[in-house]
Amino acid sequence: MRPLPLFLLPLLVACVSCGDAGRAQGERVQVVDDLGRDVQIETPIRRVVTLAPSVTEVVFAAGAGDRVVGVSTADNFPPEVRSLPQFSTYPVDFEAIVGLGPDLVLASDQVNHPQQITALERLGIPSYFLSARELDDVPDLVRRVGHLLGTDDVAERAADSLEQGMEQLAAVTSATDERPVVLVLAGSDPLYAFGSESYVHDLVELAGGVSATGDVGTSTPVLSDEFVLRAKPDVIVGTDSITFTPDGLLELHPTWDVVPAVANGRVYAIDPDLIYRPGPRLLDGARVLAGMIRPSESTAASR
Amino acid sequence: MRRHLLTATVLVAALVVSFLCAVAFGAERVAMVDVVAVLRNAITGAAPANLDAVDYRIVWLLRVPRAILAILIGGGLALIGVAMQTLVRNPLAEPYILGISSGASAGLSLFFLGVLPPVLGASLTGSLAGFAGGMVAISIVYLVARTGRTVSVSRLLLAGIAMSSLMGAISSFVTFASPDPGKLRAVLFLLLGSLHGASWGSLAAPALAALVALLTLIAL
Repeated sequence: MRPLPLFLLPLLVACVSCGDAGRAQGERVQVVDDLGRDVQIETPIRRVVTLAPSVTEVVFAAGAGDRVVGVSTADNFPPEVRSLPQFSTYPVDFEAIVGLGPDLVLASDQVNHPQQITALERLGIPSYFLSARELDDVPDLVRRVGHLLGTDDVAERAADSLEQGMEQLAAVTSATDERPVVLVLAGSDPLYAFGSESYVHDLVELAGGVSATGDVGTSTPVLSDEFVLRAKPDVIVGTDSITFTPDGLLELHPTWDVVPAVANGRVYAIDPDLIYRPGPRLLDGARVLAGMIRPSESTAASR
Repeated sequence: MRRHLLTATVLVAALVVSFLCAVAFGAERVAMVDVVAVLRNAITGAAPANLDAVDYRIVWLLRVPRAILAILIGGGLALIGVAMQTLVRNPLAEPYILGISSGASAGLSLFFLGVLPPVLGASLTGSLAGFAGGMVAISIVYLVARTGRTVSVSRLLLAGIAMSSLMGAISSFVTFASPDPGKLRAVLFLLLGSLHGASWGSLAAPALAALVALLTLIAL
């Protein structure tokens, strides 16, 4: 390819500047996302694309739901998102995202890999990664997103109400000293569980229990039948309503007849969206868990 | 003859030692005294009243059947290896090279991901789907390798390697295209193979299969 003739250069510069002039309110700002990446964005952000359901829920909670112009195929909450354009994120459908013309792509470090998004950067679409490692991070996550998208007031109120909700639930569940051992399973065969880094243990603690896998080192450990026999969980919670009944578990794990949760019929299935998405609905998940851990107090806890 | 006898004795002794290790050690610690107590009670039929229910389940209901299943499967695979090597007169031959293993994997993943319907209960149909996949693969390989009435060993190996890749691609695609992401890890887990679900009830079928295969091979 021949080098660009020099006489074209002023033309190019003129074009770039006229583009800038077109966005009268456009202000370039540099922000740092939760992964510590520098992100150049142009405010105000009018079109947002989210790459994970939890991120969508955070944006809606922060009061910026009307900016969302496209979501992943896994999204289903709030109900409004079902009428939005959906695209595959596994693998990421970059063409669909470019077609939506977003000012900013919001991603979750628990679902999306930064490498997947460098392609967007080459296309000139800025991306911002959110990270919530613990339950307590979620209210601040809502505040951060509200600040980023200019809906600070709504986000602040939503975050405050989340914090209040957590405090109220904690007050209810910490009223007694009894702490049932709770085993939360991500899969029944093989037995996938949550390792020590997961926020699931925070949820269980807030709901008034002690998580059986809180000390397991790996992030998604595969448990043995022996482990469960020894851990003696009082309550077992899974996400599949067919398997997670006492009989369903006994069929897959016949030796668990002596496990307290199975013997006492305290095996429950929870809506996975309430515990797998590090967003505002984790509080709902904790309330449902509290109802499972202490059925007698469930009416008070689930309000 | 004498050397064979010696080798066999050493190997059987090693098998017994590894069986005992498999029963004594596992994910959770069980004191050696308790392991012995569980085994003695189970063998002599004494009432397991004074035994810890958890120890009993770990040792007698989880570890012992798992160790026996491992022995049965290992023995079965050894038989298959001998049969394959004799069939193609090549010491390198094994089910992987002839495409049988990947055919079985493809059949199993097609079943597991709901492409093939369950006919006779999930666990049995899964095994049957694997068996059928392996049969389909080796039949095609055999037909391709046959010229007239003779079977060329090198054609058999080449066709087998091609079939292996094809069946591997089917497994990968079916796994990837699965509508249920929760099943992905489960399929991977299944294809890697695991003895974790072993129970006393699951020992009869593989024992019978291995025994029938052994007797058939000896008779031939």
